[in-house]
Amino acid sequence: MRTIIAAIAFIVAASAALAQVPPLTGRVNDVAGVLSNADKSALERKLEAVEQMEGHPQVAVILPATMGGLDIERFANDVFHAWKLGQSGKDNGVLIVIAPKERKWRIEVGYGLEGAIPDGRAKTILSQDMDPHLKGGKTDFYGALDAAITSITADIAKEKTKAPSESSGEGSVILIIFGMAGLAFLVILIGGFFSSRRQLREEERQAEVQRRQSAAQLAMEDAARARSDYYSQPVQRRTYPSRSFATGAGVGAAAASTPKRKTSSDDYSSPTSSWGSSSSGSSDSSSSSSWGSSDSGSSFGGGGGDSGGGGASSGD
Amino acid sequence: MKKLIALAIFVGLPLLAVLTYWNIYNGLVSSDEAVRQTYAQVQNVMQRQADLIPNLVETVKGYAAHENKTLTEVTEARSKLSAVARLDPAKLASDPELQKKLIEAQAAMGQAINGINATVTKEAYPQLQANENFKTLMAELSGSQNRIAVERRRNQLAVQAYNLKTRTALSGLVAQRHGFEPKPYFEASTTAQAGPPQVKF
Repeated sequence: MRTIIAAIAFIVAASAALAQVPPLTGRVNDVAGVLSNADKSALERKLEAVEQMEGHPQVAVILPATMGGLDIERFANDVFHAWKLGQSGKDNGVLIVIAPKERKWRIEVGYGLEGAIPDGRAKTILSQDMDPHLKGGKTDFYGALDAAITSITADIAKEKTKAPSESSGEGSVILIIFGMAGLAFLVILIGGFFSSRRQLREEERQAEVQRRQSAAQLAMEDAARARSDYYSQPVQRRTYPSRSFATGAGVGAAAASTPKRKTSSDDYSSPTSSWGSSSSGSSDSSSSSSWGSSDSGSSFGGGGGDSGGGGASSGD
Repeated sequence: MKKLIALAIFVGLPLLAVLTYWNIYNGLVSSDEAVRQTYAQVQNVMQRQADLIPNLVETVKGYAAHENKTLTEVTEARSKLSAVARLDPAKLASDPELQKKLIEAQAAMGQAINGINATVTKEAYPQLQANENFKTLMAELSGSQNRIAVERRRNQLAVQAYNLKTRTALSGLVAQRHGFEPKPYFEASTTAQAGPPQVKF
């Protein structure tokens, strides 16, 4: 009984803590109201450009009015988790936090960008790009953010050129090879069946023999046709992540394969996000940015990414 | 028409019951699995931290070879940490004693890192303080402490979710039948809760 009460108390406390996360209003969330409009839109434009990079990494900024007594590490992680920065499955988001009231600042890096921006690098960005504008009571928030965003963008770009091939790409190549092998096998089986029937007819109709001489040729033709069919819709296969199987198994049973570090609240959101990604993400390279209207720049929504507390903090 | 209704009741209701049961059972299995995975994730980030230590020891040795006590402390903390990182997450999820060890290992590591911090600052090793490698390592170490805190928080949430399922009305019955025991909470000790060590360089 006591455990139940403790559990409920904990959940209430946890949701209360999460409730302090300000709503995501755009790429630059100046809750404290310390940036001028011109500065804010300059930063927004800069962050929009980052998102056009390969893999659509998302960099967001928050200047909270208050962190509600939380550590900046905890606050940054809660905000990142709630906003789901970065694309689903790639976790390629970065959150820059400057708390003007608490005089702390932090760069929180999503799981997927820990390679591009390891903690040591985040610390360097803080000490080289942000501290000079902020340390000792300075309030050049724009200067700090601008410099940090430039460095972060460069780091992400560098990582991309270092490792151009994605593991998911390799995975789908293997899938295609296996799929082709399976198809070819099927086609040969079916072709063999039809050809044996056709051989009976061959005796009656000689003309047809000339056109389709052997079962092998038929098989080849079919295989080629099947292949072109296959290529016309390879996308469906690729967007069959384990999670949508779990969703498909449905009846709420699911989630057995819903991966790693997801908390219970995510169990309810993941089906919708997986539907979203399997429909909108159908062409992977072109449209997959999760919030369609990124050109207008007005809407900036969580892409489903998460962070595990990577990054570094600084402060006065 | 009546036949149809009867059929619906006799076939539909048992079917519904079976589906519900199946659903609840699978829910229990998946939250059980989620708990295990969060433990594995905690261990994962602990191992990551342990892997940083040899490099740190080397760097510090180069500048402050006579700080033996501090270096031994951090090496000991490292061996504790990698020992718990190798435990079976399933066992870890159900054994409070093992969990205690995990917490102690993390706390010991936090202290050791703070020890190095204090030594380097107090004893004034300006060259070491200025060493890029050392700065990076300290940032990675304190980042690791933070990662452990994050994964432990997620672990606590997963355990809460699982325990609620083993105790609430219907799923509690299913849980009892299939031996899904409530899991002990991975309580935070005060030292471990203190947050990541602050690195001021």
